[in-house]
Amino acid sequence: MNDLEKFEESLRALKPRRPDSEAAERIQTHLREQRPPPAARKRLAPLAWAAAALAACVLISVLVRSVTQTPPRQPPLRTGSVPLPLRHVRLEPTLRVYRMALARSPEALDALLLEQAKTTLVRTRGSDILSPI
Amino acid sequence: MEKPQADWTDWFNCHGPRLLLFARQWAGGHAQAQDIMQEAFMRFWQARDRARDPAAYMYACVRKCALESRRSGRRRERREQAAIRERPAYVEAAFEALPEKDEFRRSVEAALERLPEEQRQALVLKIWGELTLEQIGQVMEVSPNTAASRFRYGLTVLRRELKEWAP
Repeated sequence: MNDLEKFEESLRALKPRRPDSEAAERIQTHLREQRPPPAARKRLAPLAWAAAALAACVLISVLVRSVTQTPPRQPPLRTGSVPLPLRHVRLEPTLRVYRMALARSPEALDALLLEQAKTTLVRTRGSDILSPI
Repeated sequence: MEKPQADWTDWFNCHGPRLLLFARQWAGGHAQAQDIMQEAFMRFWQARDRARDPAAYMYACVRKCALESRRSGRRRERREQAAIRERPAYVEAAFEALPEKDEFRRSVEAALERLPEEQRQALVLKIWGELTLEQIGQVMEVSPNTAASRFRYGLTVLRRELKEWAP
């Protein structure tokens, strides 16, 4: 041990002064106010857990409802495809109509075929296909 | 259930005097030093579980509280005034009175007062706080080498000042 270390030892022999007892009392008071006593904390813990669980349930139910109550999707609007007015609809004669005409008479069938031929002719000319003949 | 309280009183009884001495390095008097030490100890106690090195952290809390107190200044003035009113000057000793070494004690206190603040703090932390140089570096926010040089230089100067008691 050199002289400096011996000197250090002689300094260490001096003991720092103790704090006043009021300081310990103030610390005790402060620490007691700062945190609730363990018994109270134990009582509050189940309540805190219950509140947290309740909050979680409410959150989950809100999420589930928002998912299940999604409004049905509207069919997409087709712009430019406006349904035709009824007056413009002209049905082609069916096979049954031809058969009925033949059953009536061959002339009736001829008349039906003629009318159909006229209609087709008008369409191919590019005139108003829906205009009455 | 009373275990936590017993814990803090154990810590306080063991480290309280050292913390108080360290706090005195900034404080104008015993009352203000006690104020700083008390606040620092409460901060330390509430955050001690997060501290990597609790001993170093405890002194770092004292340093932080002391610097804050110095910055604010208001409480310092108030406590100093109260200390002046309440206590005569000789009660403001930093060390316990030892009848056979009382003159040595007073000389040490006076010599410490004259040392530069950083050297004085390093001396207090090493000799009475019993911290390592690395811990002192952590507390003072300097490298261990800087802490070591401050301590050695301070000790040399102190020994020169107290040559009549030095070996």
